[in-house]
Parts: sequence; structure tokens; C-alpha cells
Amino acid sequence: MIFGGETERSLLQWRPRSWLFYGVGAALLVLGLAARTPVPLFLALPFLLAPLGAALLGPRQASAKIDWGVYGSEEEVTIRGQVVPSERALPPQELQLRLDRPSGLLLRAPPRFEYSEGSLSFEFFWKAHEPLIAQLPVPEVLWVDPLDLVERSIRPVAEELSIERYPPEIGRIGRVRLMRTIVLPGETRSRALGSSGEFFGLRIARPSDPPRHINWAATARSGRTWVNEFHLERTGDILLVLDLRPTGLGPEVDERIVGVARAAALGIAGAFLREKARVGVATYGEFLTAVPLGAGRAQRLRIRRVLMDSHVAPIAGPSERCAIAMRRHFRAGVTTILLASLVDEEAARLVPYLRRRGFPTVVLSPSPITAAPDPPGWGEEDLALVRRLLRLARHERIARVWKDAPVIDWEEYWSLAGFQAMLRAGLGSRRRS
Amino acid sequence: MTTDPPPQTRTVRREGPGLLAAGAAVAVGLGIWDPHGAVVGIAIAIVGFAAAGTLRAFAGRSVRPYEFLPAVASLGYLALVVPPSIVTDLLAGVSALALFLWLSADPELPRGTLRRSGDVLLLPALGVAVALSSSLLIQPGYVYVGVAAGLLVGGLLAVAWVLIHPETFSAPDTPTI
Repeated sequence: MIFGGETERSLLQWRPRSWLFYGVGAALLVLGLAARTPVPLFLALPFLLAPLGAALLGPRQASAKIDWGVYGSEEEVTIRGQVVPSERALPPQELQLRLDRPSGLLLRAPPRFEYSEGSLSFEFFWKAHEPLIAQLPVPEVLWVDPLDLVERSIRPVAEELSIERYPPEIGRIGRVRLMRTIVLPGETRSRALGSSGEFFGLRIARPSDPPRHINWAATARSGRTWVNEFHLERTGDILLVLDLRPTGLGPEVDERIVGVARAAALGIAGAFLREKARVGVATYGEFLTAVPLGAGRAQRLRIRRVLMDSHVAPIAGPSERCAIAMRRHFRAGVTTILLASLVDEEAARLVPYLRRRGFPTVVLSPSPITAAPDPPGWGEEDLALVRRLLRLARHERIARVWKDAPVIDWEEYWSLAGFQAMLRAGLGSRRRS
Repeated sequence: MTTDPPPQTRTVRREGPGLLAAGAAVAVGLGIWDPHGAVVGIAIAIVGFAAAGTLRAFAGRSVRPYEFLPAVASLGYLALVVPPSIVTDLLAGVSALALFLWLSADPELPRGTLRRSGDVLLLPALGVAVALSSSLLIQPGYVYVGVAAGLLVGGLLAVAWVLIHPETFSAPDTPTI
């Protein structure tokens, strides 16, 4: 979405220092009148007039184009860009940038601003605390007077940015061959070309192609690097279910766990969609919200929109309602990944209900032990003991859920190695055979 | 969401200490007239401006907006106790303007801010000039006439300003659908 209307007016706002000036001026005025001496009035006059003088300055209608992007990998998030004012009369030195840091991102280093002839360059250095998806709003561009008394908003012309940070294993998860749930028997061909399936032809290699795809014989014959291309095969369907019900851990910890689960769900969905699998998403708080199975980029956008809007529900719905509602949107037999923290009994009860309704389920459970903050004032030994007891209790609950579905205890949020191994071992076509 | 702090570019500006010293010099000029003794007045002026400079140099980010208050406190005290005369009136007005110049030489603001501050200081300087001229040129019994004349001159200057810069109060174009 591009922001910035054509006729938006630069609104004037008083900065805190202008109120301080007015206060000082008024105090001096009162003192001068009380003491019947004019000298404080002469001192007060500049303080009272300076904010008015500043308010007369500044652009009434101005816009600034922001070219910006998200850089960095894994935990590192760097926002880099530049602001170019549309009017030549508005030097970039008079501009300030205000950007809100989304929750889940920490400050890695102070931001850097550089003023050049026609632009203001900026860099923000953040660090993702855990996997996350976040929408970064367009920054506020302000004109500020030299005495820091008033500000005028400048209309920014820019697109919102999205920050997506996943564990590195996400990139390889989509390669898992899913249990077949498509109506047609045998291999189902897609018209799309990709990295696996039936051989289609050769093409000149690109730098992004892995060495395994290079056709060495063709390369040796022609003297140029060729890679094999394949008709992609649709391997199956996958369904991601997010449990958004509130738990006894409190809204902050719940929201943090849901944030991690949301990022994992979008990452997993994107990875399988890249491999032409059909992916569906369901979120369950009090009621079910579903994105029916589908493939392609549009499906990723649909899933992303639903996931971005999903937060911890105020009221928890019963587990059975979720399973019943899911059958209205999805056929039985679709491989299901349930993202739930399994904090309480009701959350654990969702798994048998899903299984009974015909959804073969794998539970990816973000550990609440990682998300919950340490209580203040406790010693290291006490904390270690508490963590150990919490782990024992969690293992006991996970063991009970294991009777109905395999569970991956996702304690280290930046690694999905355990989940990847589980998918390869248990969910693929081998499991069916 | 949290807003990041402004950039840390606390480079030492050459103008900053000089402007602080100039402001302190004007305040010292005011302090000389202190009825409790020139030494007391000068000490108060120097302490106030030194405290302001110290706050800018060493205080945390949350205190920085209030860095000028010690200087204002010392100036306020001196303005209250010095005998009224055209010199003290002038010194009081000029010391406030000098303080503003020092504020615009903040090392956290981008370069060129001091040069731009002239636009903001125009109106306060004009106000001080009008008030001074009215108190200087008019007989004591006709000060109210002088103030009225000063306001009239100020109003005429404001009208001239608006005529020269018609965009000052111009309304934005009507949005079209």
C-alpha cells in the first residue's frame, strides 16, 4: 500500500519545549508585574514570541519520498533508506524521521542519520528476539524548527514494509513429501517448472542454482553451465492450525507465543507453497477462522493476511468446536500441523478431537518456558530448579498428548531442526507405505 | 511499539561554547547591576550558564530538553533584582536571544541549524526592539502611547510580512474527488 494523499496539509504541532517557553515567559511576566519592574518583561518577551515566530515558518504543504527496505538475515534486522523532499526549498537538514519499532524487535544499535545535499539517509539497527512477522508502518517525516519548538508533518510517499524472520530450517521444510490427499491417483503434474519431479529440459544456470541441479554432461559438451528443469509434482496438502486461546500464563506471554507460532505458520506455509503443495490455515480462539486449501502466491497473501490479524482471543472456545468447525472447511485426511503451546488441559484436549475428526496431526508446541520471563529477585539456583520442575511437568503433558499425535517441544525458537526431522520421518509418503 | 531514540551524534560544535560564553557575558553585564553586589550577580550569572553548559555536555537524554532552565533561573533572578533602566532592559532581552542562539547550536541537531535559527529569532528580536524603542523614545508619562505605537508598528510589520510571504496563512487547495 502506498501512503500519501495529494492534498494533505502539514499540520502544526507544538513540541514540549514550546510549552516550556510559554511557561517561562508567563512566570517572568507575573514576576515582573508583581515586583513592578519592567526588566523581567523584557526577558519574558522573547520566550513568548519565539514559539509564534517558529509557527510562522515551515512548509504548509510538502511531501517526501521514502525509498527504504529491510536488510539483514536471521536475527539481524536493518532498515535502510533515504528521504527525498519533493520541494527543493525544503532542505533535508530540516527534516526528522520518526519510526516505531514493532514489538518483538530489540534495539541493536542507535539509529544513524546522514544529511546530504538533497536527501536524508537513515539506518535503524534492530534485532529479532524470536521468529516474527511484522508490518512496519510508513515512518513519520517531520519538519522541526531550529529551536525545537514546533513541528509540521510532511506527507510521506512510501510503501509499508514487512519484516519476516524464520528459523533457517524453514527453507528446507517444504521439500518433505506429504501424504497424498489429492483425488487423482498417481503423480499429479503441475505446469510449473521447478527443482524436482519429471525431467522437462535444460536451461542456463543462474547463480542461485544449487550444484546438485547442474547437468555436468551438458555443461562439459557446451562449455556453459546448464541445469536440469523438472515438471513440479504436487505432493499433497497441508493444514496449519493455530491455537489462539488464552492460557493462564497471561496476555503478554500468550501474545509472545502466538507471535512465534504465527511466524512459524507463515514460514511453513510459504515453504510448502513454493513446492506447489496446497496449504490451508485455520486459527482458533473462540471461533474458527479458516483459509481453505489453495496454492500459489495469492494463497500466501491470503494466509499472511489472516495470520497478521490473528491475536490471542479474549475467550477460549471448547476444543470440540474447533474440530467440528474444521470439518466444514477441510476434508478429512489432510496432514495437519497444530501450533499450540499445550499449556493447559483444554489445549491438550484439542489433539484427540482433531484425530477423531480424521485429521492426522503433528503438534509443534512453542515452549512457554522460553517465553515466560524469569521472576525478579530469584537466585540462579532457584531459577534452575523452577525451570527443571517446569520441564518435568511439560514433558509429562507432552507424553500424554503423544498418545494421539507426535509432539515437537519447540524450546529453542530459532531452530526447527526437530520439527524438520519429525516431518521427514513421520509425515511423508513413507509413513503411508 | 516503541519509538527509537534520536541519533547519537554528540559531536562537539565549535559554536556551542562560544555562544554560551556570549550569553554568559551578557548575563554578567546584567549581574553587575545586582543590588547585593556585583560579585554576587556575576557569580549567579556564571553559575547559571555553567550549569546549562554542564547539562548539555553530561546530562542524559531525558534531561536535555530542560538544559536551558538553570540559565533562565539565573537570568530571572537578576532581572527581578536589578534596577530598571534602558541598559538592563536591553541586556535582559539580548540575553534571552543569546540563549536561543545557544539552544540552536545543539550538537544533536543537524548542521546548519544555527544559520536557520535567524528566521525564528526574527520575531522575538523585533518584539524586544519595539518594546525598547517605545520605552527609550517616549517620555515616562506617555509610555502607554509608546506601547500602543509599538504594537501598531509591530502590526504593520506583521502585515508587511504577510504581504511579502502570502503563503504564510494560505489555505491548502481544495481536494478534488
